[in-house]
Amino acid sequence: MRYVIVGTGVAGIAAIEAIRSLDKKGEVIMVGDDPHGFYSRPGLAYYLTGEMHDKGLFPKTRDDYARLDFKYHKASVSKINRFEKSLLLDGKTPLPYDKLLIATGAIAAPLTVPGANLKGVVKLDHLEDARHILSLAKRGRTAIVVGGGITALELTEGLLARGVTVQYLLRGDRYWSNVLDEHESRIVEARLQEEGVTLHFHSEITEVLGKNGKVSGVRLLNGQSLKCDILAYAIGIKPRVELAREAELALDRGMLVNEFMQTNDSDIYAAGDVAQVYDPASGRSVLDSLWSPAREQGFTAGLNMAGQKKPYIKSPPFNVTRLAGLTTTIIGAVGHGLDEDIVGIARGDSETWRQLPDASVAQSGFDVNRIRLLVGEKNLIGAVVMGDQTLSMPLQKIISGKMDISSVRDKLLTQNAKIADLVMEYWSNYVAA
Amino acid sequence: MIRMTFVTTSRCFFGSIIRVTFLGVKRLIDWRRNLSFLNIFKSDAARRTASFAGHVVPDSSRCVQCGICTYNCPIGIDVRAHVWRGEAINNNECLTCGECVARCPRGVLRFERTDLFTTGAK
Repeated sequence: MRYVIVGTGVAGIAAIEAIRSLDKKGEVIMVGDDPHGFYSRPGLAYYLTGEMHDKGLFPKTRDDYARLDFKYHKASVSKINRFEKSLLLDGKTPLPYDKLLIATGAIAAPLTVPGANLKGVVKLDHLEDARHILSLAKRGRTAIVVGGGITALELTEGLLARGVTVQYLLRGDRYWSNVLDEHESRIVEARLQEEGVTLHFHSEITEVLGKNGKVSGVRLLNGQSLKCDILAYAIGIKPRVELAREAELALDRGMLVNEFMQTNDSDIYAAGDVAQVYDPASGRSVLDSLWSPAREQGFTAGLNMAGQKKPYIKSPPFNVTRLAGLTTTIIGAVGHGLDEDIVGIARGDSETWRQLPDASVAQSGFDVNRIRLLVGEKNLIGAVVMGDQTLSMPLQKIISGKMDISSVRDKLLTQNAKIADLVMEYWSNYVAA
Repeated sequence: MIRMTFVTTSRCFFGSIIRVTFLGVKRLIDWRRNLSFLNIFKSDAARRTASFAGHVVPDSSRCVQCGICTYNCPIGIDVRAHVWRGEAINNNECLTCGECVARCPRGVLRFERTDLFTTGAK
């Protein structure tokens, strides 16, 4: 049996771990075009801020790889030949497979205005991108960051930490409006302003201005021009579906897979940011761009590839991030609608956050420690915890376990309710019981 | 302080040097770090008490394997690898200094009491 994994991200590594847990003898081959193989891509944000050095981003040791016993080909896949069950590597070398996993992830949605190919226009997908940004930040003094969501903020914080003056452009009237509520957006914005970031709302770039092939500024829709040495964008991501499209595998925005992570070709699986996974609970196929689900999906795909029929059970989307220095946990359904700053989906995003059923909002706390709960009829359906994270673990369990909160529901919804205390009390009672 | 660490473990020496270059001197006077240095020189008995009293446990679903925990561990425990496996930091050498808990940008790690002789405690 030969298993081939395309992609070097966490989904691919988790798939190999799963395959090896069942099949010690089969041949496992990983193919990828990232020159650095597997490393923590979310960790790039901390490499930019200087909290982490680049060599430390690689979680696996040589021994770990030896234990997993797989071959690694650094190559890009030019084609999938489904009828011969074979890949074409670098346009010349064929590689036959019995079971194939596509875990090619997603890349930054491109900036499509004139001048977007000038030098100094950057995005953050790979380690090489991060290194490039750091080398530009050594010389550059001013930067413009464009886009909503987590990655844009990480770029802003990284550039700030390197002593670059940052102007941050948002198309809408506040930061990450489809996930955060207004108060939360304003907290993040105020903290950025304290750090010296200039925010421009309702701003849209129509043209990137350049001098001698290098970016020198941007022109906005309202006619205003801003100067900069670096333009960083993070306006959303695009699943890398080109291979699947050419092979005529089922596609929507990502590769469509069933709960066994299987595409419409029973020997081909997909997992991670590239996969749009069928969720039996909601009857929908959902794109997530989160590290933990990618790992779980990869692991599930691996088990199924090695013959153990196991469905992927989607847990309520859950992400932890740091927004302008504030640790923030987002659980379940918390926001709604579309964000003008993001095309489709952003990195660290889940579509489920925006599918908000009828719910009431309970809020508590001010500025740095804040909890927002989305209260359904009998249970909690979402929460945003900013700052102090004591309650995020209980809340995650309460939400994912769909625990009955009828006993405290009314109290939670009273005006000026002490939400944190109520949640803690509820949780302590539950643990004690 | 730096030299004392050097004497204790070479990995920490390198860690400190990198930190000086990367993050400036500020981090070196961080009180938690100083405390952790003191921990190294506690007697073995005291250390054992510390590790009995509490240990570091992860919530792996929050982790993205960035490695800040491992990088900041003064005695070079690969904290990140424990988190990947979903295991508590059950390494005998762990000083429970709290560096990894404090520095993790995603709040993955927390202290949990390990009361071996009392039941029902969390």
